[in-house]
Amino acid sequence: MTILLILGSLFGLLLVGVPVAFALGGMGLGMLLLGGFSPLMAPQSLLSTLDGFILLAVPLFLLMSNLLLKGGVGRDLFSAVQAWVGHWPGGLAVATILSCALFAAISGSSVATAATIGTVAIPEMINRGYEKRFVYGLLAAGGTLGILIPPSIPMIVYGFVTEQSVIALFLAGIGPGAVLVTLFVLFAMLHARLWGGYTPVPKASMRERATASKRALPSVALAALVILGLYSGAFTPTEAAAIGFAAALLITVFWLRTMTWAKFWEAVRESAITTAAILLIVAGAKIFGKAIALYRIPQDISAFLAQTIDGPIMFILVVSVVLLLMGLVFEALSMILIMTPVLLPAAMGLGFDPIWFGIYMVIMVECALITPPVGLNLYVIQSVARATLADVARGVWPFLMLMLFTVGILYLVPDLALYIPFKW
Amino acid sequence: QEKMRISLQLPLTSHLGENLVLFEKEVEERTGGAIDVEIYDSATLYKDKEVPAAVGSGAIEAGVASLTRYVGDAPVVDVFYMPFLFNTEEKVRAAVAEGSPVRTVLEEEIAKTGGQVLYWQAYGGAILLSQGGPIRTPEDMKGKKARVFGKTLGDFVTAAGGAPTLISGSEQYLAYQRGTVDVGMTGVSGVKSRKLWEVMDTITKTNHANIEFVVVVNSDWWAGLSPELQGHIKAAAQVAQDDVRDRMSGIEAAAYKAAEENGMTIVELSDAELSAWQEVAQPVYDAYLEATGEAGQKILDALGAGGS
Amino acid sequence: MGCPRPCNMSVISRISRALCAIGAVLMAATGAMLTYEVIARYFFIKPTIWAAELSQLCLIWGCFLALPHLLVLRRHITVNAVTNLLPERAQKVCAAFALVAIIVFSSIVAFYGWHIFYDSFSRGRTTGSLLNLPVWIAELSVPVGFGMLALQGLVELIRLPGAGTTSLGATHE
Ligand code: NA
Ligand code: NA
Repeated sequence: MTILLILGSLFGLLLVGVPVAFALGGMGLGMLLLGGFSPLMAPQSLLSTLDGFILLAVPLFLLMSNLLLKGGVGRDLFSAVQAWVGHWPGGLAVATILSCALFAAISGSSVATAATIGTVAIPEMINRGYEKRFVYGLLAAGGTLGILIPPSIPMIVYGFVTEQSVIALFLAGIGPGAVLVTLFVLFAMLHARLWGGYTPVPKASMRERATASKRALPSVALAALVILGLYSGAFTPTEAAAIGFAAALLITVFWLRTMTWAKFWEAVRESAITTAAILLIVAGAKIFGKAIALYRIPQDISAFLAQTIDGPIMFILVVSVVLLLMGLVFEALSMILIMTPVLLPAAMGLGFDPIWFGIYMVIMVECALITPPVGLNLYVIQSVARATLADVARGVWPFLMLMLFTVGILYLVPDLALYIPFKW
Repeated sequence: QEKMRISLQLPLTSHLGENLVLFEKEVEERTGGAIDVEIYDSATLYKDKEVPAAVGSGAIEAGVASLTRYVGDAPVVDVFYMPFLFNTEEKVRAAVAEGSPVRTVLEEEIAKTGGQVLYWQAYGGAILLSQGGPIRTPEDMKGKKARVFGKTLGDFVTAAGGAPTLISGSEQYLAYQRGTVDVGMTGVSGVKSRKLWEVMDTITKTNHANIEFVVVVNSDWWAGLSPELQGHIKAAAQVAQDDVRDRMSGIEAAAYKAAEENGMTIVELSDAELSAWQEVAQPVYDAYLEATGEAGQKILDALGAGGS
Repeated sequence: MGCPRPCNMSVISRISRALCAIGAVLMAATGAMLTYEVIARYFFIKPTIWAAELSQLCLIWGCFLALPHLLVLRRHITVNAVTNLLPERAQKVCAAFALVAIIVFSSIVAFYGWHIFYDSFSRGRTTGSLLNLPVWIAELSVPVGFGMLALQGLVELIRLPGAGTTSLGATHE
């Protein structure tokens, strides 16, 4: 009963428009006061959250991708990839997915990925006669790769709240990310074969390819540096983010020569605003998390799940349905922050690896990003393409199926995630 | 019925967790349920490093903290991290015995934070981990990056010519696997619980530092209890404290055995190697005395060490 | 316009704006410090003792200083799915409720945050880490940031009847 009351009040606060951070923090503080617990826990939690070294990676990865964004890297990446694969069947669609994957390796956010590549790719594809809904779905879904392919802000947050290794999570995202990219590419080519109707792009000459690649190369090299640096143990995630920021500055100032003081300050300011908004939610969730721990709610839910659910398959099925439903109205970070403390103990009790479970959560959150009525990537594509939400939402469902299919593969072959970090 | 909530960083299955469960049982039996102990394990409420402030401010009645977490309030506590000062169990037992000069001074200092030490939990000695050969002498440490978990241990690594790097417990495994650091440092039970034998092949049994945890209660909460209840809780604490101290050598032995069975080489230091380490360690003692002044000198004198 | 003390209110908003700019600079500074740290450790095997801690301090201050201005910009992440369906009057009532919630929460946090700061300040607590800075340097950020946030919330509440927007933010990353 208490549980329903608490969750009901929280959802109530969220739905009347209290910002997520204050709804979580305020509920937590209220519960502390009502339960006779010390309210000192609220400021203590806020401080201790921001005192996590790993969270420094959040502003730094944002700075890195915002600098590259302001430096026009999105267009460069798309042109380069298009020069290589644009003449394939469904070539522009394939180029779009690959550009999303490349930008995902620079950016930790799905919205940024969808917006960046969408701005360039949508007009291009529509002009060439690709079916609109397919284009919208492709970009909304392609954008979600941003949080599965490292770096990933939700993975940093998951690692922070569960005290799991963020490097392991990053590396574990590569395998499923590659599978998802492959599935998307195959679907795009199949769609082109079956529906056609677009004007193919002429094959680019070697000179065009070289020119386009030259501008994209440093960004790709930077992404590789970050991932290889993490893989080889040369840097911690936070340091990788710092190096990425410094390198992004060098690339945009000296190589691409697109950086100006105004753009630089805009990137710095934008990163700071996003960081503050994100980390305040993490901190608010921490207050809420402590309050529900004092009321013993995660333990009760875990025990309930353990009693009623029979075996790992049932668990994943039930949890997936719950997360899909929750994902209809919630955004990514809140879902991870609210559900992880409740689900992870039960999952580990059933023998799931915490890193594997983190990747699973990230893919489920990706689904939430593209399911209406609340799906950030839907909104982004809607505004970039000036389309209706209904059109975008209809284009998305085949990609949603592919993502759930990937969850299935991940369940059957856990090494898809765990091989790279632990066995390679 | 009075609630006594205790925050613990580690899971209930760890030996500190098991020990708290024993304490809970003892308290509840002795007080006939007048004190209701609730353990919040796995850092659901507070991480280790937040415990001193949380207990001191009365945000929670009690908590378990690694002793070194008090170093900001009371620099004297890092006496247990003075290199090789506590490399045998006898020395540790003498220092942590009720009423010993070391313990008295430390608890007085901790009391100033608004928290009162109820009892001590043994965690064992710190050891070095490496891959492809032991770290027998400071020479082996020279130019290498070593994981540390605190300022004093960092000073020690620096004194030996290495580069200290702060790595959290959760990133330890990958930091060793990927070579972010060359030398590992942990309590030996950590080797077992994190399966560090998968990434490191050698343990050098340096016991260069002694890791202690303390169960701390909020002073005001404690003062508000009747003397009778206080007596029962103290008796329960005594039982729990003795139990974990007595079991510690067995726990460490089991961890070494598990490490060996999983292919690790365990290296003990010879007397000559030990004195090579002790020779380079003087700056750590100097830094300690500088930070602690008279109080630190008193403790080191009581232990018959330091100050040269 | 039409508000009783436009001058004082714009002073508060201007302070918030300046604090946000300072916060942004602090966060960018973490990048410089940590890059230096990696180079020092990786190439010279000589890690700094200050980079990690100072950058952490910059993050703490940077975030809390940015909060009040986020409210002006309407950039606090908010679920608008339901409120968007309401008529504008009802939306404003919701926004007023949300602002009151923010003001109450921030005031309580600032109040107890001050206690924590004052306690550490008077006890002379230090972090006990490699740099061993006083703890209050970080803790002061809570009463400052949330105190300003409460004030800014008050300003936004007074301005709400004449404001063009009703929501306090958007569903954004
Ligand atoms: Na990414
Ligand atoms: Na959704």
